[in-house]
Amino acid sequence: MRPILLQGHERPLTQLKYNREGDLLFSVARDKTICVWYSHNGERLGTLEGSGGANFSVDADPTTTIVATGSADQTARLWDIKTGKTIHSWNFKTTVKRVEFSPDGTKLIVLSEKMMGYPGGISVFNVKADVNATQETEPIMDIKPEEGADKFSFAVWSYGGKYIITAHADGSLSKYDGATGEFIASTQIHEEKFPITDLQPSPDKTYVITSSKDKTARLTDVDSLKLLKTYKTDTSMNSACITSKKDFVILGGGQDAKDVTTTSSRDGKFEARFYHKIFEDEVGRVKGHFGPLNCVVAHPNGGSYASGGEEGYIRIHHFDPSYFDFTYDVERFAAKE
Amino acid sequence: MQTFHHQDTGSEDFRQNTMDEKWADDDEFSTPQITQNADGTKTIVTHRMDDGKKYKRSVTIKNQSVTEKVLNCVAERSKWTKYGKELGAPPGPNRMTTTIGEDIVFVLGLKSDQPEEEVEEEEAAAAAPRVGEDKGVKCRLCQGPHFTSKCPYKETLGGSTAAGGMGRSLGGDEPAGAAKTGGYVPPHLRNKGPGGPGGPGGAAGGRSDDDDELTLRVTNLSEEATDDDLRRMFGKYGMINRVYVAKDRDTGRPRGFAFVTYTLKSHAQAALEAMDGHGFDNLIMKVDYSKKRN
Repeated sequence: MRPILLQGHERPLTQLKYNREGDLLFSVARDKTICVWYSHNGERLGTLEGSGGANFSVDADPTTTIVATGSADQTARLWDIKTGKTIHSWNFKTTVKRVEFSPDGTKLIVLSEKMMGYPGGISVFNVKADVNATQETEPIMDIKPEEGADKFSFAVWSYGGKYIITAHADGSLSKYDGATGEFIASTQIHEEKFPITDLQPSPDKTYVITSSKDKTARLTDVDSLKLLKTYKTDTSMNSACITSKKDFVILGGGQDAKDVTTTSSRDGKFEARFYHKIFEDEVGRVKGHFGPLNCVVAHPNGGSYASGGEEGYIRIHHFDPSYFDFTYDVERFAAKE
Repeated sequence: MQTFHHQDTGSEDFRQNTMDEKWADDDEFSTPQITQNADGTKTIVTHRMDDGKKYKRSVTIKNQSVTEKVLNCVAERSKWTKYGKELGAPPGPNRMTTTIGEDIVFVLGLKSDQPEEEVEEEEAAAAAPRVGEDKGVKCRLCQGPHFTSKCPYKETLGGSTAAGGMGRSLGGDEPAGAAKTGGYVPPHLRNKGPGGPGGPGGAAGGRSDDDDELTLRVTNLSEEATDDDLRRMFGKYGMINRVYVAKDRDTGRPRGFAFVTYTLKSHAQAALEAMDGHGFDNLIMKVDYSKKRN
């Protein structure tokens, strides 16, 4: 397996995202550049210019017409993917930490951070996947954390846009109605003192994976908010994703960025770890980064994955045939019968 | 669905060169002589004059067309013009931003019982220097179960042997194992501990001596056999880590032998027994370990 190294950023990566078909990979980092890459060969289609600060989040609509980004310049922007031009921008009081399109591409979650006396929260906008359309300036709903709950860190849509699943800094997950924004339920998934570091939905969006500084990644069912699986590691985790085609989850993390210079890279555990989704066993590791992995994301067809590190590199890995051959003995026996 | 045709045009640069350099004044030298070989390859021979010397250049190439099917929308997007920092850049990856990394051996496998073994080993290693009564450690001064340098009677007994024992005492400070065997150990024999070489459970991967017992050499193989054929035939006996079909460097045609690496010795053994003498494409395959076991 020969990874493709992408050097488009000068600062730590914050999020990677494939479009629906997986031919394009979007990357944002703590610099002003937003990159669009062809995922099969690592060619850069272009950069989106105009962001005024670090970018924390990116997402393309299902038709790959427009892309949304969230930035520390306190805006959420929409861009035309074909030309790289800004087509709309919403202003917020604080940093925008997460943006995500609903599965049908008509709504956009914008999560703004709680800071400087502002409560932050989730705003949901109606959007049109058309570069010439005028976008609505006011959100259709605002969601604030429940009384006593910690601030929102991440938010994703569930299947069909039915729910909004949010992750909190105190290790809990909440569920809100996707149409009305009403609070439905909340549950403690990770250990309380450790923040959740990533939240990604499964390919069919019926369950989500979260990673946490408590050195685990966990699967949670969307409907029941029940904990399904726990993947234990030996270091704090920054990101986790679910692959299709094979029943694996990929975890990325490593020692905290602030401790990196004090130890050798071998002790830093800067590896992508593969766990079997069902059996919770670790089945493999991929080395390569020389800083903690900030984000891992699986290609929609399950044939490759990309990871972004604190050191500013992105690595795209296309799996070898042997990856797809790997099966547990029980799986082989089951296939024979 | 839309179809792309990529043509491997190994000769293109070459022709470009001859045209740019304009050897028109010496036509008989610049005209490439193209010979079509029987195995589907082409040999292009050109001559050129440089500083009064005549140079001959012979290139053997094989054109291969690869067809890839993609969705219409993906094909559409692949033709988009670049923008931002890539504005005006030619098609194809830019070397400033995109490079190919080193080959990573990524082997999936369970840790099974090996980690425990390793932990025990580590514990033993950690315990050994501290607990002197372990085998092999013997003080040369008082014959007690500790290193000479740690001897409590060093001051009283050490004086008499100090002058003669200087060179040896250096060796004595080494941990017991190294001191016993001593001497130079070639790289391929190092780390031959009970746990064997290789990372944790082989998950991290890496070639090791054990590969010889996991790798089968398949000879008398049909030239038509591909990686996939071998995977299909040998995959029945266990998980395959790697399949390598030896190919000719110039023509890319298989040379009639291949290597198949399994992840477990038992699988390799089973495949060896079953596949040795097995027929494939009118030839009887011979299967053996890649290296004879001693």
